[in-house]
Amino acid sequence: MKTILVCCGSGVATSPQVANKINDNLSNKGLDGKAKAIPKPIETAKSTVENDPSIIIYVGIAPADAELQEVLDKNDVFGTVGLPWLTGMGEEEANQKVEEIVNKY
Amino acid sequence: MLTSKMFCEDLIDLSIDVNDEQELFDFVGMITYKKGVSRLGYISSLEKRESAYPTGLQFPMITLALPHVDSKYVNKPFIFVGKTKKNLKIKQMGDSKDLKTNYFLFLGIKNGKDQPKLLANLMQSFQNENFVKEFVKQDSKCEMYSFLVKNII
Repeated sequence: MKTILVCCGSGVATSPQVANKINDNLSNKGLDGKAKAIPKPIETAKSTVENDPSIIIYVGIAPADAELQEVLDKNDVFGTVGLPWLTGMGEEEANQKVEEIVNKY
Repeated sequence: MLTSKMFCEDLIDLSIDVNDEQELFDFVGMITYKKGVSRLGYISSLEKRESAYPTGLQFPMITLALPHVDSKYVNKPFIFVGKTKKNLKIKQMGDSKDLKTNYFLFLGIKNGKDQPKLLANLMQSFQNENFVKEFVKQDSKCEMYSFLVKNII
């Protein structure tokens, strides 16, 4: 089972909301057996990515900073932003990208 | 708690005369404090929070900001609905891109467990074209209150 790590910056609990949306789409596409989105606080993002090899995608509310991007690159994790799942703008494309990556594994 | 229970007619103002977000925070802070739903420190916490983590969101039909603070500054759960007379500069959640809006929903969240549900309900509503068309038409407190209670679960 692969993991999609979702981190929100503000603590308004945008990350559970985004994770739910991603999981809904995965189950609609029959991919829920392959990957699952999990919300975590942003402070833990770096160490989680470093320590959990099941993570294949990182969804941040803000774009990853240089330090985090380096960790993502090193661990072969695809980084993206969560706004499309909040506002619905670009949500389809964002879902497609997630499916594409999940399907590689 | 049902999202609709967080609305209150006294916490809706659709003709706020302010020039920037700072003045708006002072205004909303004063009303919510007088009403007993926010606590001392709410205003300065709003300012800090919004500059570090902006909350502007651009939906297909509407742009709005959802300023919120740590629950310790919230006395009772509330949502303050504000429309400013002028368009104010705000920043987008995540990348701080400049946006403009005159619609603000101040989220007074007390119980973290309710947050995802609350947010999901609001996101769903503001993505809905018919909801937004009606939302922007409401021009009195009373109408806006009935509209929100009827349309947001």
